[in-house]
Amino acid sequence: MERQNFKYYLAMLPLFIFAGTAVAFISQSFSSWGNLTKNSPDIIIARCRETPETMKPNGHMVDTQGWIISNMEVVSVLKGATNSGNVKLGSEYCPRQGEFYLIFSNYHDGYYTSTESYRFVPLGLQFSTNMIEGVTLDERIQNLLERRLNSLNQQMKSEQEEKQRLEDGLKN
Amino acid sequence: MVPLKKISILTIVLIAFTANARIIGKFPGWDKLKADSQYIAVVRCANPIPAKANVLVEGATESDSEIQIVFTLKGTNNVSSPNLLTDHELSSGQKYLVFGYFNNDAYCAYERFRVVPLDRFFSTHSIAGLPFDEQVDTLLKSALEKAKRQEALDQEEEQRLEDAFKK
Repeated sequence: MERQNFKYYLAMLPLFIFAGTAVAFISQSFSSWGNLTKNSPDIIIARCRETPETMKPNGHMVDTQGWIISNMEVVSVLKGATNSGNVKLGSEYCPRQGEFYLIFSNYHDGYYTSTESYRFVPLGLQFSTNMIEGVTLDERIQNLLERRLNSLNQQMKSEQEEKQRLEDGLKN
Repeated sequence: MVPLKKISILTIVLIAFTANARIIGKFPGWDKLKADSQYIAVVRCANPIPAKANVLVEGATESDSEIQIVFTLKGTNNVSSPNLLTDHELSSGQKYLVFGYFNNDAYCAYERFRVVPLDRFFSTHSIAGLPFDEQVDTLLKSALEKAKRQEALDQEEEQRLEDAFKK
């Protein structure tokens, strides 16, 4: 009986390995903006239109296996394939609906891939292509990164206030 | 002598401004916030109602989103799926502790301090059956853990962005 069980698990092993491989994706650590700009075939500015449903109608959470496919609207192409309008984008990062992003990605088979979170630079809910200042690609990206840094500092300030409020509330 | 026509125009302008204004209060402390809020609940943000791109609506809240009430701490239980109006940014799938009130079908919690982001995997089982004050404390602890993690992520991003300007 035990021998039969062993055979059964042995037969199932390749299946488990295959299933595990199917959902895996390789994530690389950030090296530098220069490398990212050079190695990303497609650099776009896009607005997140829709992220996947997080809950099924029965109230259960949807398991995306860490891979989120969002509907995006390409607003401007800084490098690569000149797409416009609605596209699909896969990533481990979940963008915020309605927000604009500078995205370092790879376009293939009608689909954008930007696996790592650092490939997304949030640009806020209001964005105009007039804000893409600069002549060269590097200048444009620098300006957008500066814009993000300023808004991140504001965001950190309000999050710091929020954290302080929580700590004060728990002291009492 | 100010002409009657000018006074009439001024009155209309003043009324228009008043209609758009929202009163934003200061944080009164958790105890007062708990006491004064008519409806306190843990909600899950569903689909945000995206603002029209590049259209600024005077007096509109930063976020307007469909929500699901996950757990009611204070107030009536017979609420279906309202919209949450707040100046706190909201993300789909994220859970929040909200101190607010109902105005028609909208759950209003305008000020940022009224909306507290909770850990994504926070389970309401951990607060079931506890007294109200302990429930809020447990939720605030979960929020503080999340805030600490977010702070670390922000610092990482800040460092990355600052690296772009180092020569």
